Amino acid sequence: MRILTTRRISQLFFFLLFIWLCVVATLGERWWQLRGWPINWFLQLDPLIGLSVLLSTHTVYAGLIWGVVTVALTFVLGRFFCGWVCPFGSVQQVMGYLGGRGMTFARRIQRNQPHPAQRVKYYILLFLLATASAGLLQWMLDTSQPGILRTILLVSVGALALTIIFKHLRNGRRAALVITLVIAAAGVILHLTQAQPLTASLQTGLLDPIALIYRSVTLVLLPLVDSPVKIVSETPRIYPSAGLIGLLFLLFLLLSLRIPRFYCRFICPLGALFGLLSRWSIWRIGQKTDGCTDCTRCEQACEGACAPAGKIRTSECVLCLNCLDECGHGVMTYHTQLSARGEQIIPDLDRRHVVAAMVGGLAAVPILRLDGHASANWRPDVIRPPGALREDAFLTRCIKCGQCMRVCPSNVIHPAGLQSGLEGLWTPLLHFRIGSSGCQHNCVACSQVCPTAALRPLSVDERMGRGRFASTGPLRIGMAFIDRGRCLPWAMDTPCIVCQENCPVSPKAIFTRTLFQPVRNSVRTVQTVAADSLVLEKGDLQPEQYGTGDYFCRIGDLRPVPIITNTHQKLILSVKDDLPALDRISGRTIDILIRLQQPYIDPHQCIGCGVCEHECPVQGRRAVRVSAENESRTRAHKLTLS
Amino acid sequence: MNATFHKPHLNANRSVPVGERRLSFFILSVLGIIALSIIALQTRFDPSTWRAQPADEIQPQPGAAVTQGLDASPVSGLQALSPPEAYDAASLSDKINGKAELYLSAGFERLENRRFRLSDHPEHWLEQFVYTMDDHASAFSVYSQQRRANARTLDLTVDAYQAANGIFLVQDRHYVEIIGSASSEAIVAKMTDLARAFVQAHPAAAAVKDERALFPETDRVTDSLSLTAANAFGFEPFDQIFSAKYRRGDRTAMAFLSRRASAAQAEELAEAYVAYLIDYGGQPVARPEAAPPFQVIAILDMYEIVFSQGELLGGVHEADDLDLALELAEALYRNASEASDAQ
Amino acid sequence: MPNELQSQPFDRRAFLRRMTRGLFGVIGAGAIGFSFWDRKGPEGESQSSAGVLPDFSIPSLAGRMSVAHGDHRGRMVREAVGALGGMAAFIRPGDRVLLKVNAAFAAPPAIGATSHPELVAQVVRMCREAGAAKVLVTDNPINDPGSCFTLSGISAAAHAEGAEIVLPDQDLFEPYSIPGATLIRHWPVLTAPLRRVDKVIGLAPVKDHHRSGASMTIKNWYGLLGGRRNIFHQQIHTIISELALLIKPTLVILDGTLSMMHNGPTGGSFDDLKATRTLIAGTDPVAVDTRGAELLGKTIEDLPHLRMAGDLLSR
Repeated sequence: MRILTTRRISQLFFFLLFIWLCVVATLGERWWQLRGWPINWFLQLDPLIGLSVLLSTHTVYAGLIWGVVTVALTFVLGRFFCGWVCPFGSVQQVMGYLGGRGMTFARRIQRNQPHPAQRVKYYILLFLLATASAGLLQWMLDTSQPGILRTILLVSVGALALTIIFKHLRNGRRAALVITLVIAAAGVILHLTQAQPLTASLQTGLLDPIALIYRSVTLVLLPLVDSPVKIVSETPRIYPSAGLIGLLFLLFLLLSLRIPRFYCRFICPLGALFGLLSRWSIWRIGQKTDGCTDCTRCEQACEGACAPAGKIRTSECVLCLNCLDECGHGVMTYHTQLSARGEQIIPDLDRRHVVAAMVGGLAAVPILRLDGHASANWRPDVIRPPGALREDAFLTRCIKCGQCMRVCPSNVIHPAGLQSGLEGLWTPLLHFRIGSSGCQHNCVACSQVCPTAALRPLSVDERMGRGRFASTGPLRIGMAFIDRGRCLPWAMDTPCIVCQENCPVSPKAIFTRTLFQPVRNSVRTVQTVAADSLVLEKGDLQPEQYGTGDYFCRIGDLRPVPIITNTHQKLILSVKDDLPALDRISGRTIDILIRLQQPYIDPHQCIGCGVCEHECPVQGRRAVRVSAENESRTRAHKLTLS
Repeated sequence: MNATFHKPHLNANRSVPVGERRLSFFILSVLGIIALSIIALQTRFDPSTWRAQPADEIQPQPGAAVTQGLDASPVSGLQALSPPEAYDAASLSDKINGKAELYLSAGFERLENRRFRLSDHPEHWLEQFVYTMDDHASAFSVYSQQRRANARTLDLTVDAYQAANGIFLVQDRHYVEIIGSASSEAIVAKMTDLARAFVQAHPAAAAVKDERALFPETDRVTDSLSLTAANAFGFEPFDQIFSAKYRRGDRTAMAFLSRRASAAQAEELAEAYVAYLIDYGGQPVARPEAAPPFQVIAILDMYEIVFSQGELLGGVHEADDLDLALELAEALYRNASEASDAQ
Repeated sequence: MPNELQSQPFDRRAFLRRMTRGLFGVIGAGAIGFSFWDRKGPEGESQSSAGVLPDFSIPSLAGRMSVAHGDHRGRMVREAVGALGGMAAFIRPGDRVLLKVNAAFAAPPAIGATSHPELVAQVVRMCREAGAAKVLVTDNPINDPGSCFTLSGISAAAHAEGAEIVLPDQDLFEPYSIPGATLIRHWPVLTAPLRRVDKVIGLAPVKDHHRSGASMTIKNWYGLLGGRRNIFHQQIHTIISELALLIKPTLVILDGTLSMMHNGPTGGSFDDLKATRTLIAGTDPVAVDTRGAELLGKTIEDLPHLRMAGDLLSR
């Protein structure tokens, strides 16, 4: 079997596996549902996610350790992930093939030539890593809790820095000395003052190809495909701001019609990371000793645009092996030698651009945080899923992959637009108006699925405040507030206790207080009094208008009498004692009262699940709405004692 | 570019070197191993880490006495089909929606239930419900109020009967229902075994002596004794009312008795009930000279008799014949007097 | 570093070098990955609390109180503290002393909502005379801290006598739990200055307080709480009684030269003040406040937190 066929099988295998893992992320126990399928495996294999979480939190959470395997294999094999595993790469490769059909040989070679803009992805990578790096930097400089790991890391980073500096100094670059002194001085000042001017934020997920394709498939493609057949979800899934996600995905696909693997070549920060790692890879694509006729045939299908016919750009090579298959002279090979024509092994990066990207990344987060969305100016309408860490910690972990939104059984978790700031784009938040119910108070699926513990893994016991967690009480994701200007019994004299009925906690967090209100324009003159009914002078009532059981008739100063029903002119009452004679009803007038049960929230019981908001019959802006007050994830939002 | 290279796939038929073939095979094997591992992995699944499962909604209170009610081990040929479930007052309506009020008003503590399958007839199953009530009277109350028609009395306990596909019994403060998926002989046999095992595991504390012994036997409809926990005869203050049906020819009546906290309270409640009857259009009827101090009320072509005797409140309800009513009331009154004297 | 490599056939050395680097890469990635591996994920909000604050009181001087009358705060405080044995009884040479003043509002000293600068200056001076190496003055006010210390005149007075103002920066707070308390649990408390000193003196004016009835020396410790402390107004008496547990001071000085009789704790008008001409110094804040309540015409029945504080302390 040709190795090229094997590569195609591998791509198909991983693509189908990826789609399968997207489909089975459905809470349930049937074989095509969640079960033990490793639905995060692709995200975990992606070392860019592992690395950026390491930078932003100085930890590598659980399954992210898989990234080490990918990195290790890349050191040995090169960018195998791009050409053999990455589902987004495979999709683009197919698009590139479709776009290239019918093109002349020359045109094909032309569109696969290296382009200077291929450098951009390295700057993107550095920028994104820099935004995340403050976490590890601050951890390293925090010497108040010494540890072996910290010491080793400090010493090795210091040694590396010194090596680079001395090398530059030997070459006579004064600037290196100046920069070093400035950084060292800043380090000493930071250490002495214990100031923390830098803030980490994880933005890698915006452009990481795995997060991107997870997001695009689970939030856009799957709902599109599933809504007519209704296999994965009985009700069509709705995701606000999925439009932008879908359009971007479409854009990248269309671009790769014109330039094969457009995203991989110019944007992909993961590809850039692999490019840097593959510098020393043991096996690599290259030419054997002489024999090349410069026919450039190998470049007509070169996925990475790495110019295998000349000095191959190893960091751009995605190991598609097309060149191997195309070469009519048996010159191209995959071996442990360098290419006979020589190699350009590191990307052609401009030092000033590198510094700009990194400084820009470091500075961007403090600038974004100036609006205070992660501190004093927190947004009450940003309800995070249960298990979400405090906003600043949450933003150092969330990669916007959409897995929590996919797994949520009630479709209540949605990608954010700009509600939680520019930084929070596509992070999960809860919209109780949408979805099949509020947040189920006995479900912790989103916290279990989160690949980076931005939603820390909760047990059902912890969520519900049972067992070991009985003393801490249930987890609160917010608290409901009644909008008395919109609530039917509060504002419109209309009976309704839907929110109270649906409140799932015990005892209920919504309770009602009963009161009687006179119905507008309901004063009537009585003509005659019968045993259990009043006949009115005017027959202007709507039959059965007052027959709902909520209406009472007020006759003088008697206790209001329940109305059973009415005709045009007659009120039929539920009487225990005789009705007073007509001449004893002052002015012969009566009026009608309505019994209202007005809802109140008990802040000690409310967990913010939003079932009330979801069920509220005031359909537009709900009359009971959950706000992030009292959420458990930060003590600073506490509303009540206890 | 040289035009001679326009032919596509110059090398489509190039011979594949052995090394390449071996490498391909190796890679495909790796993919196979990945696929197999994933398939193996997906079988390992604990749904309870993702979402609360019905069975663990209620956890046994630590320290609470563990009821052996669901122990089917003495019965051979039964396999557990579901994990044991338990419900308390707050969650009872999750299990028996609609009927929970009946249990709650009678004094409900706990329900445990479990489904079993017959080993030799796997398509047949039965479910055992053990309701633990506040006391024996509460258990009897829920038992008597839902007694099925066409029931056959069983001699398992004082109060036990069998309907087409179920066995129902009261033992101590437990009310037990065993419901089968069918009424086949095999199921009935297993249900009986299970009921017997339960009775043996829960010996009654002592023979209960209550108002039931005071109902006259003559003309009494078999198994008609019942205890209404609250709101008996539509009269709100009537709680803990024992009653029994009587039939002579085509005439029927119902006798009732209830022990109140004191003689004064019994008398007061009797008066209140009479007032309630008159409120609803009842007419007092003179009682025969010789009769005990009854109050007789005619209402809606029926007769009601109310009396109090010591702490006991008693009477006849909805009798369609005055003679039968008086006779029954007198017998009841006599028994009540004896009970009062004996104390 | 060369960006391009020329291959030479059979360059075994170059290959081995590449091999070694690749191997180091694998090992390095593995080592970094595993040493930072976090299998469990983060905890929720940290529930850890800092160590218990020291007891600043002097056992041999427990339960002492003295009262001075007059109009001149500087003289009265000398008299009152003198009657307790003089500042030298409380402060050893070389001690670092913290004055917890009431600088809650950005208001001028004349309206009596804050500790009077004249009194602050005199107490600092007395500490210095007793040999204090350093005197810190602090409070976490309700309004902007800088303005509060400046407008109340406390900043100038303290600086003039050589004391240092400690403004309540966020990193001076730490989550703190009082053993046995129900409200002050994992709550941010201004502990950093407290941990830097040997002695603590509380300096409070006598004020009416809308929620709690009175604000005197115990309520004064409220200014050590951080976070959104107004949540505690839901249970004002409990929080004040727990404040009595939070700090065991060396000395408290209650200034009733002018007492704010109503519209407390902010006041605003001179009509709210009354010349009660009394200054109380003592080592038992509950006793001092009970005596101070008389100036407001209140008894311990009007101020449940005093009784609760007494009960908590005697437990």
